[in-house]
Amino acid sequence: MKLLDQHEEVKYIFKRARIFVLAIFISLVLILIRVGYLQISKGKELLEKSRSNFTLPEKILPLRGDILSSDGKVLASTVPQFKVSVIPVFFAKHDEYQEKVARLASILNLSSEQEHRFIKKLRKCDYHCRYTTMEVKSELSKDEMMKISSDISGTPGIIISSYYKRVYPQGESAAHITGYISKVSKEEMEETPSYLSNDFTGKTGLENQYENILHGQPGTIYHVIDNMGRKIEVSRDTSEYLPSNIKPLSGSSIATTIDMELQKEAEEIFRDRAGSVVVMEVKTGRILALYSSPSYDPNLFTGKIIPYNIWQEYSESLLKPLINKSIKSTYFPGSTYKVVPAMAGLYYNIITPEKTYFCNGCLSFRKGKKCCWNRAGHGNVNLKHSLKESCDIYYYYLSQELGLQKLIDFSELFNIGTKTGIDLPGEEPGILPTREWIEMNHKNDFNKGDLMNMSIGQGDLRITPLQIALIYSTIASEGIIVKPHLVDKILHPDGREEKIPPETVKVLDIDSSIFNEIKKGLWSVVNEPGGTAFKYADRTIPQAAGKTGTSQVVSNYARKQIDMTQDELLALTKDDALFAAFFPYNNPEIVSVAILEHGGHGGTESAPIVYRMFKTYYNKHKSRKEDEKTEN
Amino acid sequence: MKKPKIDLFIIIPLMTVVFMGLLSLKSSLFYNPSKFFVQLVWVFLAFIVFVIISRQDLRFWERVSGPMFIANIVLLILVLIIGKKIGGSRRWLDIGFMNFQISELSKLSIIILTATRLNRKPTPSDGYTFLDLAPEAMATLLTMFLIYKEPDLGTSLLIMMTVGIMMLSSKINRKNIIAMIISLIIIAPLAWNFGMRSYQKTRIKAIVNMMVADDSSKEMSQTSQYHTKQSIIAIGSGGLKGKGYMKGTQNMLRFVPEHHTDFIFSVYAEEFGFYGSVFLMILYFIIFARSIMCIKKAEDKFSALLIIGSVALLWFQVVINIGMVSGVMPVVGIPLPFFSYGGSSLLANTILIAFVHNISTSSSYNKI
Repeated sequence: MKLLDQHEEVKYIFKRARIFVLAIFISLVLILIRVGYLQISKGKELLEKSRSNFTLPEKILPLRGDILSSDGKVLASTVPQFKVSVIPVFFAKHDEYQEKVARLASILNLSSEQEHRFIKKLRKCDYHCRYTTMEVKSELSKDEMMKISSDISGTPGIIISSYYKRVYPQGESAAHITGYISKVSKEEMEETPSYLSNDFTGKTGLENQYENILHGQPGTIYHVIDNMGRKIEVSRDTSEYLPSNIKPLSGSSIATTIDMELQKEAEEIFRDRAGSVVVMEVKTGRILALYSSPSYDPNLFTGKIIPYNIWQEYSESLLKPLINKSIKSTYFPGSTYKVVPAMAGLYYNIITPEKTYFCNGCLSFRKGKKCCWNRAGHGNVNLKHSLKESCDIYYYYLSQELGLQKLIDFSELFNIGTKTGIDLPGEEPGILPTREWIEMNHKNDFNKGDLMNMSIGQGDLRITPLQIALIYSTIASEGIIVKPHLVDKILHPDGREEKIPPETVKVLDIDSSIFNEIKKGLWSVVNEPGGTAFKYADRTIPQAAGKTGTSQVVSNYARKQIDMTQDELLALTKDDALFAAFFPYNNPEIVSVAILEHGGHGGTESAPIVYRMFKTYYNKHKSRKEDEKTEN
Repeated sequence: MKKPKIDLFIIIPLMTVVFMGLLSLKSSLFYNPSKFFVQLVWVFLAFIVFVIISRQDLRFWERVSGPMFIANIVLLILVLIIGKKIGGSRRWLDIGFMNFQISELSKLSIIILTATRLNRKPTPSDGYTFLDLAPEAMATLLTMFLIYKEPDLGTSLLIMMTVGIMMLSSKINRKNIIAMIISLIIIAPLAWNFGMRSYQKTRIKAIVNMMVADDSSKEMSQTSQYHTKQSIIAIGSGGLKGKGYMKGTQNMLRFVPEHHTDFIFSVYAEEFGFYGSVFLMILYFIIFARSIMCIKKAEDKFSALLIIGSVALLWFQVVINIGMVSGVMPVVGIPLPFFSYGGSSLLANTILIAFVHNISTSSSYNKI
């Protein structure tokens, strides 16, 4: 076999190698085509991708608006707080944190339980978790932060950040007005996608009603981050790729109509007894005080989680501190309702003010016997007398002549059984037993006795204290049904003030003489000897006019069936004490309703409460009025 | 033909590539200047090595090719036993002042061995039969196997392809080639259907799918997918003109992992754009084309094959590296010659190009 010599070999190799050069050329061109495809055709798209790689939008929660009282007190506000967190991966190696945690704990003054919990969290933390922040301690005040920040700054992986905390400086006094905010729930986030996961939202009260106004708009800060997600100081070169930051828009504040002086007074009167009091301006519907007792401390609910034991204690309490009784609890209006059949009687010309019915203590009819609260009887009773001494028999007779339909129709005129429209969430409409309601609930055995019960505010009727206040303000204003409201002005962050004008729901076409007859009757209740509240009226202030109500919660018969100790029985089955009044009698300005659950007699228990409201109001406005007088 | 003292067609583009590489390294190692300084020292050392080898009598390498091969095999075995593990594979020997990547030595050793042995074995006029090439093939397979075990599939395949090119450049018996192709066509499906276990099939499929990194575990493939994705973003976002030197966000914020070693091209392309990429490819082409032309000046088969092997190896590295960085080839851990960070690779590649330069300029042989 012939073998090639060196020269031939090299020549042969070189000949082949020319193909090799071609291959190299083609391959490098192919590379350039690929690179060119990425850099030219897909350049823009990939530039965008590289941008989103290093931009981390951080949402900034807005400052929530304050809630203020009409006399300038702060009902709800937001204060900055600080928290200390660690990023585990920078803080300590997975298995060598004991010493570092101990040091941190001593700086932060952690309790051993807090420390233990933190270590447990650290131990469970793996992979991604080790790059995320982990809270160690929150709710540090600025002063505390100043003290410890120099000690902390030496340790890597520790982050100090500030956040807003909602505070309610009035504590329990205004809890049912402001309500409270808590962390947004999943459902709320789905409903309102603009909420951030660490956002807070109003759950009850004005915080809930005016959520959109108070909350504000979150802002965004764009950070430059590296591959580990660490924030990098922005150099000018990269910042030109960044979208510009969006400042958060603070929420607007709201100024309420609440007079903190009255509100505090109400809180003091009730202490731990269950009940509520409403004070409202007659002409405007401005709520000056709205207290429901017992109350709760909204400051306990503003953390990330509501402490279970506190929640349980509140929600299981028989006195129902979480319920705003003024608008959510419905009661038998009792004798405070008598003004309605009285006016109806005059309106439908069934009675005249002079017409009398005879009360001998009890009234027998075909299916039974109904008695007056005064078994001795009131004798001949006219309209004024019936209100003054709260004679039941008068209304039994009146209701029979009036008939159910007229009583219902007239009650509907006064919006009984309808929400008042106050700017608070969860208002109850109460129950006005209409025909349909009766058919459904009584199976057509609604009889005379039921109608009689209704005429004295018992039976099927249920009504909220605010609705009673509205009946009496309508009497005081002679037919104007106003819309009760709590918010006077919205104070926008730019300094703009938006006044919320008072609203009138409707004006009743009822002759003022009818209202005057009723007013006279109500006047005699507190200002004539023998009136059910005469003994409890405060004579140091101008005259008021009102009506007592003592509504039976449990019938005497039922009371005997309940298996309870005498004390419990007394506490839970005693009559509700009501008093509704307007003030002053001439030219009424405010109306007030007090209800003391299981308080006993309306005159003895609730009239003093209302009078204290009137007195506080009077003393406060006396000086103002005198000034006005001297000016004139 | 009078040989010049230096071959500027090799020296100038080569130095330009090294310079561009250093620029990119400086950018990507902005946070670690001492590491950049280490590379500067390597470049200096490489320069000295280049000068020495350019002036050497290359027959020295013919003489040591055998011992060198044996030493390399021993070292490769040693690496598997006491090697330093970095990033999941055992490729480095800790020799005090540096971690030496033995497979870089293997590249040199196998090219020199193949050139030497084929030089001593004159080609029959109708080409080598497979039997003639069996010893060289065995030596290559042994080297490949040991490197594959590290695992470093990329370098292993690189060596196979380089030796393949060297053998094909000599003459190979045509009948043998045809026989091999036919038998492959018959055996491959049979082996696939009957000879292979399912995990082996999965593995091959995975390789075919280009989803597999050096060790074919799933976690690795996910990591390499991330590498590729970020590197594609880096290259593409550079656009036509690039983001500007030291302004590549993918680089400076370290979104591309390994951006100073295997993925250095992404840094360069991000900061210098398509213009920069074209410029770099032109430089490589000049180096390779010029080197091939130097075969004309070769005085023996050894020199010619040495050039073929050197160029083939450098070329494959460029294609595979940029291919993987731009997402058209699997991530296999091949550095970009004269560009990537790393002393062993720079030294080995410098020695190869120094061989070419030597052949182009040396007057130690008499002209034929």
